[in-house]
Amino acid sequence: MDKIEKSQFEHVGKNLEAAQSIKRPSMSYLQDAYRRLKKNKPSIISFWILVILIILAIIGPMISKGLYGHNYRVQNLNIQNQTFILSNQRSLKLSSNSVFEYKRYKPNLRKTELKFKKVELKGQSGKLGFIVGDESEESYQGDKKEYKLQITTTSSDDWDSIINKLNVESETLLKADPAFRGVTFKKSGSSLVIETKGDKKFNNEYWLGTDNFGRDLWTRLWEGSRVSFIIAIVSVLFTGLFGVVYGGISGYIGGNSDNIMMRIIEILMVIPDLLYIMLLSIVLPRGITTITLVLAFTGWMGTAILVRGEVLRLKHSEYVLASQTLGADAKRVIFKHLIPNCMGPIIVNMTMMIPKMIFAEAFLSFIGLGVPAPYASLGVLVNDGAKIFYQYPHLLIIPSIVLCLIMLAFNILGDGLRDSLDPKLRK
Amino acid sequence: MTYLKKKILEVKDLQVSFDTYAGEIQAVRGISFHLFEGETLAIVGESGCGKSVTAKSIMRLNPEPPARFKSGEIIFNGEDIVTKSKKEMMEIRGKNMGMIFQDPMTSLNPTMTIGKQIVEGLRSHKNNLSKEETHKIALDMLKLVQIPNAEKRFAEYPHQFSGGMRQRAMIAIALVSNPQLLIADEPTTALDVTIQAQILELMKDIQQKINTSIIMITHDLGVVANISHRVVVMYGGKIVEYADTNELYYNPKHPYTWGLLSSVPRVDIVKTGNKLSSIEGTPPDLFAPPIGCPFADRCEYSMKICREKMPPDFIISEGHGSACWLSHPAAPKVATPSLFIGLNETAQKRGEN
Amino acid sequence: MKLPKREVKIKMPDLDKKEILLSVKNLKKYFYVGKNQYLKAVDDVSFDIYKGETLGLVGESGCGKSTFGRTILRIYKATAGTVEFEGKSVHNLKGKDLRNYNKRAQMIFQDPYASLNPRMLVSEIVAEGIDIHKLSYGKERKKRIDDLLELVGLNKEHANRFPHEFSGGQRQRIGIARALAVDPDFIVCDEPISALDVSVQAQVVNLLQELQTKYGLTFLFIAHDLSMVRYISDRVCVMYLGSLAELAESNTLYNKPLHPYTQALLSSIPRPDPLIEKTRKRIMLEGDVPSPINPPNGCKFVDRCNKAMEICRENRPKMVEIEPKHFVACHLYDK
Repeated sequence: MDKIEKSQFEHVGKNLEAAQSIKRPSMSYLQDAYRRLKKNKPSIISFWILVILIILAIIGPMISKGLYGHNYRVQNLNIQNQTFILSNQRSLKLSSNSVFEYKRYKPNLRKTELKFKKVELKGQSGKLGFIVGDESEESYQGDKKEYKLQITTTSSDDWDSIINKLNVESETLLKADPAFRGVTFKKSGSSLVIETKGDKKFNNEYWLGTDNFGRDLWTRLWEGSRVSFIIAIVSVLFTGLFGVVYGGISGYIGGNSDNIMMRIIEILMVIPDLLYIMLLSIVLPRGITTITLVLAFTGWMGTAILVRGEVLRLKHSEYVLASQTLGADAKRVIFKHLIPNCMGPIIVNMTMMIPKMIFAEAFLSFIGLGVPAPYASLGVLVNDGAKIFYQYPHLLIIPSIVLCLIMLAFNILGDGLRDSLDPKLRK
Repeated sequence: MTYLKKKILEVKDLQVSFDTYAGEIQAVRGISFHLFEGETLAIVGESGCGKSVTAKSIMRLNPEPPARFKSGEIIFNGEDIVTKSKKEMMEIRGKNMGMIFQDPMTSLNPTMTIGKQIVEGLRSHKNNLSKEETHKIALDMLKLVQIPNAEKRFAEYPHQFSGGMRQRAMIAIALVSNPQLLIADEPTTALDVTIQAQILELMKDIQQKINTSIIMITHDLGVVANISHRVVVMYGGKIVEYADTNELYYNPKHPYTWGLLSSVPRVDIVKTGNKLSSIEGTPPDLFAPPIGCPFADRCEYSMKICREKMPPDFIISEGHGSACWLSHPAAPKVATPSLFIGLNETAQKRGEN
Repeated sequence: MKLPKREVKIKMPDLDKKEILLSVKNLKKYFYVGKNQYLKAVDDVSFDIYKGETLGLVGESGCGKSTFGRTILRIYKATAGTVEFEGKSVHNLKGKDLRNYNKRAQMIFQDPYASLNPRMLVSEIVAEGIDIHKLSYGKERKKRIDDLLELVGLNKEHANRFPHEFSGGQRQRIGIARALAVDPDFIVCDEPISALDVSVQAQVVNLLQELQTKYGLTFLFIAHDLSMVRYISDRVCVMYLGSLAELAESNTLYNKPLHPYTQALLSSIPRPDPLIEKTRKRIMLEGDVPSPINPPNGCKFVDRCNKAMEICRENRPKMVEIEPKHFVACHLYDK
């Protein structure tokens, strides 16, 4: 053992200040929950996705209005059903064919590309003709031109020579009129592929395209998101407020009053939501406020039952007893003691209700009781898009993606919140 | 009384930490002790001193993470527990080591009958016993712990038992496979005094019968005096004093032990004055433990060196050690406080028989 | 703002000259548990509490002492009997009068982990009484909170923390500060130290005694630990299954226990003295504490008593003053 100096044994005595100090950082329940939430990657990603979507919902329409003057209701039938990628390819039609046979014929959507599968030469002389462009439609180029492309074949022609002839004819037409833009003919395997040439560019003015009334999809998408968010959040706030107060009072008072209040809820819950919605929709004018109220009305019961359960669990805690001994009245006990301690499940419940409300609104649109035209909501957009999905898929796909993202993000965030707000999982 | 006894458990320089959001909490900071066959060792200390963590570490019951064995060994029956895998530990637990917990109400499964829970303790270790044989062993266990009407009680549920009965049932479950070591974590704290007395008698009785070694974790010095052969005092994650029970009570050397002994109220000694002696302040936060002696800030006798260096174990006599600079040969002499004169006198009166 | 100075009592004055602060007469509290069965938590209890004293109330779990404490404070409504505080009946109070009673009679709770709202800051917890009764506002309120915290041995800085950051003993101090905030005369301490370590128990008990001397408080100290009760109480009464068994001055009870239950209780406490503890003979009570639902007609202790007689089964003994200020309810002492 090392030698220890005599001075080291000098008496010092107690130091109670040091003995009593708390060294750890102070954290309230919410701060601790937030810290735990941050560790949950899917929840954080969902959170930021939602933030981005909300910001877009707010400023999206403002941007397009500022740049191009778009509006969710301005119609322009000339530009119906555009997608976000515009091209000036002309459409193509087979006008006469006595040269070859084919098993299958596959045109693309706008008939700018034709595919003939499993082709076989008839091996005789004949005519092969195409019509490029369409006189009856105003094309993207703003003209109504039509071109005829025709060749004749002999019995000694094989595929290579026929392709050659067709390409040469195309060049000729192109030299004569550059607006023709040209057609390419190719044979790959047993298929004949014919494509009209052109430039592709992003739709400058209508970023996501237009719908069948020529309305800008971008604007309508974000206006619609706004409406969906507002309906969902406001209705959830209403259910929260009313449900919490109702459940809190019912749970705290107990006895017969509690019984009566619970029976009322049970009766209300037995009647199907759809019935309420229909009845209220008949009585009240269709609109965003109506839908919000209607959805709020169907949701508060669940929250009330949840809160009542929590209050029953906590009502005999010692801190509640202490408060009552000090002379606290029911209002103080419920709102200062009981409800703050139930915040965890309440927040989770409300977060999970938002996607339900959004979906409920979409469902209402589906049965025709949703937001009236010309207003847009995500439900309206999805439903309209579903009607012409086969022709113009972008009108369904884009609003669906946004709707699904919102619902998924809220659900994941709600799950993360549930874990982080549960005090028992605290480390 | 020195005959060769077999060492069942040896803990060497055990360090256990918990990794939390705020950082590392050093719950156990290097402790060493041993346990012989058939004896009862008491681990005494305040809440937060690390005694429960130590007990659970012996059975590897702390969830790992966040618990972490920083260093040290726990040698049980010749093998190091720290290096065992989860599967190996499951073999050892229940069969060679049993544990009873503080709260008998939450430690029993409310949906299983008591009998079934005892049998479960047997069945989970592969032994070739038939159903009838396990039933009989379990029933014998219930009788051993002195539960009246054992046959009837076998098929009852925990909620039909009183607190004392439940604790007896817990003891039965822990002892059913005849383990060599029983760890009791504050088993009587939640019970009434009269029931506590019964349980302590029961434990001593069983120890005589089946020669189990017991580690008793408690903060009640009366219980320690009643049941233990040797005592280890923990503070701030370290052992501050250890000794045979009599030696600790009649010749304590560490100021913390003095503080503990003087703050226990006595029913049999006449009330002297109005104030009960207490140790002011609170135990250190093991999140940022002090460099020197953990008790220094609350110690009346602390010296400069106490805050700078951790005191080593000073040997007072055979089997009695104190981790305190006051026991250093060069340290100033401090008289044992007067509150023990009473105890010392009693020892002298009894003449050490 | 300082709590008003009261008469400072240094020594325990003569009990004969004392004023009665609280008088309990034939108090009963029964709970209906269905099927025509009553849980008789408090079954005909009578005694007086003098101003400035500490009366200890001991008994095992289920004996009704907590229920008794809560009934006195009007947390529960009594089934029968009266409780008089300074001569006025407590159970008819309503509205403002009831709130005034709340200010004068307070409670300290048992479980330091459950008796503080985990979502509230310490300052809010301590000031709850002040806020409910609107006793002070703003800066004055803040100063009062700080004074209360220092009074119980905590720091001003602790006011901005949450209960879970404190140890059991510190939380109990917060509970004491909360009770003191309304400036009460009488405090029911419902097992305030049971959940604490022994060394911390001593701290809290010392604190309570200091406060009693400083502010002239009266305590009803409910506990199941006889050894600690001895230090703080002037008189002690022992309760068994809702009825009183014995009541005497502190030293008398511990030196000369008369009721068999008191004797057994004192005997089963482990002494922190190995040589005595391992060799002494104990009175061991058989069996468990019985249920307070539909108790027996005679003496409630009859099934566990080692000195039971025939009369004990038929006749419930009454509290009789065997010697000055020493009351026992036991047929062994029938004259």
